[in-house]
Amino acid sequence: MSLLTPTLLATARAVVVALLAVLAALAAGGFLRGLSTRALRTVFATTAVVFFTPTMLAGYGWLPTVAHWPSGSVAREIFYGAMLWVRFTPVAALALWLANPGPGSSARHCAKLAGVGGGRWWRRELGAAPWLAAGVVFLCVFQEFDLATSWGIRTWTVGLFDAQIGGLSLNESLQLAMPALAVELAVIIPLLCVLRHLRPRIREKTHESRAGCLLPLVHVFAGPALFLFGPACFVLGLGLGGFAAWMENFTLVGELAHSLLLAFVCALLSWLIATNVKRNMALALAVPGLLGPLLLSLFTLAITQPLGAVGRSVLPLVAVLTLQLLPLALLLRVLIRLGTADTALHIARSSGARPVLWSLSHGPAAGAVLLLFGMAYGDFTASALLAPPQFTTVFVRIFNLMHYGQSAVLSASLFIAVAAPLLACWLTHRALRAYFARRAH
Amino acid sequence: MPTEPLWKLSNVRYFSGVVDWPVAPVTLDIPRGRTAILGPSGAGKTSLIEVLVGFKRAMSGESHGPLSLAWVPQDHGLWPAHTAREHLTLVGASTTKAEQLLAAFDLAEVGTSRAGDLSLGEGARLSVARALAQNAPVLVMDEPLAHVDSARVGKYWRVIREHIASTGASLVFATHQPETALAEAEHAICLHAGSPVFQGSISQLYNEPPDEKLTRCLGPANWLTPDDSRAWLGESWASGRCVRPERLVISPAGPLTVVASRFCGAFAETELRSADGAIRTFLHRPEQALAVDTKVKITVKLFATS
Repeated sequence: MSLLTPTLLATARAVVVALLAVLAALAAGGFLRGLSTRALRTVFATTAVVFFTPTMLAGYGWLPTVAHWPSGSVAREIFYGAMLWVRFTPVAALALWLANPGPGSSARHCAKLAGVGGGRWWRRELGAAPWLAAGVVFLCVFQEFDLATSWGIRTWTVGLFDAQIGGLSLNESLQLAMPALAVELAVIIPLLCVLRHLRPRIREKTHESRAGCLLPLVHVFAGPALFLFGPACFVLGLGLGGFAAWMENFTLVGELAHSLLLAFVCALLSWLIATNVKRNMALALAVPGLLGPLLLSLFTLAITQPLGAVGRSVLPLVAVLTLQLLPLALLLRVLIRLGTADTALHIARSSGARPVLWSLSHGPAAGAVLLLFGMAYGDFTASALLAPPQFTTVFVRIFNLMHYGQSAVLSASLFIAVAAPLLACWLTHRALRAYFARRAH
Repeated sequence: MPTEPLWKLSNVRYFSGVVDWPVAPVTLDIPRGRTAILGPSGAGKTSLIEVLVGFKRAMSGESHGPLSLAWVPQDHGLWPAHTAREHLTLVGASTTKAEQLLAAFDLAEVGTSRAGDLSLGEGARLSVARALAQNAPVLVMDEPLAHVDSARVGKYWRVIREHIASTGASLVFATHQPETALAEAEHAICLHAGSPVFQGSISQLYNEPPDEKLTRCLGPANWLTPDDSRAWLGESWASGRCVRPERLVISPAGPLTVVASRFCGAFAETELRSADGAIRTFLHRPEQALAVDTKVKITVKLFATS
């Protein structure tokens, strides 16, 4: 058995999606740069909804549509690629925005007036930023598992996961993973070299034309529609009859608790690490997370299996999820630091202006932990491979139930599983705000 | 000498300002030579300039302007990954010319620095130097040298002036600095809410602005109504007039009393009380310090009106 062909297929798919995502991000760069801070936050928040929604919801919600196309068909492949493009283009836009969004539109117009421009000028202006963005999107697409397994897409993650769950020994699984690992390292190593020299800066708002507004608008509306509202409506419609049954049995309550607790612990740990390490250490710690949950879980299994009780506990899962969240935690830390003027923070601290301190420091930190929490909560791969039997998480349970096809109870369960962290996040947010507001007065 | 205007805008409509509000149709002739676009913040100076250079599209109307021009945008429009020297050579300056311009704008030391690493002041100078290096027949500058220290601004304007004199280029620039407009422009266009409210010579705007609002386009001034002229000067003017500080003389011995006087550098603000108890502030160039309670009178050195 070899996963070489699915790996090559996944590589080709990731290259195409990454290039298209970077092109879209470049086209939208000027428009985004011209937006006010508030509008920019709204755009990123809306697209972030897509990124932090558990992909199992979209996998389940779009399954009837995808099932119309034969397994392995071009239509299914295009739909899968398009969904990944919608999901990860904001990632490319964010990477470009942080690394180098390129010259502003006034600078481009000056170049046009002076008869300057062309490929060489553009390559020089953009530097390594498009490659950085493409690399990040490539890794995201290449490691994708949830949608692929739901829709029967041929890719190495599905092949490797099925082989491992199907009873293949860990050594054989790791051997199967070698081509994918080689591809990932070929991307991660240059990526780290670029990241090492990167100095993200606050981007001054520039005078921008409205050109390039189409793609961000498409993403702002299409992303949440495709990954959240559309599937949620489908799941809700199918699951209406299942809520009563769910209420009677309260199945999944234990799994929900496990998932919420695990996500909270891992989010907090990753944030604490991200905010307390220096730059080079941060980059080193980000490497395991960049490998993706599947490879990271397999390597962790190889390390922890000989450890006996510790290896069979929830600790390896906590470690993997924390490492998995670290790249995102570090990114959020950079974003928060860029968005907050050090001088404003210093004055807020020294003057004891607590409400200001909340809005400048504690609030963004709490928001970052909530985002990490949402990301950790949606995990399936690491939980499926590493969670001890007495600590099954909600999406592992739902995934196992999906083998029996779509049903009202399963749909209701999935809806509740997706809604539970939103409710938890909202309640936590309210509680934290109330707490800090009371302390301020 | 061609008499055709540099730009001719007929009923041109465009969006203006940060929130993109549409302005009333603009009809405007910009003559050849040196023209200053003036107006308070938010008046639409940048939007008009962006329409002139083709950066912003007009919604309707007709616009005829030069085909070749160089632009200094408000945000400098630099190319962050290119060095200061490359900014000049890329637009057509020879190596020698580039070095001359770098030296003239005190940028020789940062010639190999990328534009993204320059300070705001250096970026502002480089943006102007690039426009001059382009050798275009028309220069359009949006608040040029705005971030440059005031002690050196005059030196850089001299470079721009010499360039214009040697090439015969026209200059259209927006500025908030009355001194710059007075020193560098022949013509003035004043904007209010995106629409031109004055088009004419800079000296006319300085000496005989048609209303009180326009007096402020070129710095501090006293606007005296016919009633004011009667109350404070003992004269009877037929209409309101702008009296610049250098034309208002406050001299000892008279019916007015000095309440307070503050020297502000180029002029002084002096509060006077009239015989009937009214108090008003006048701007003038004091020839001597005015002590409180001194009795004074006001005289105005008017131009001979046409």
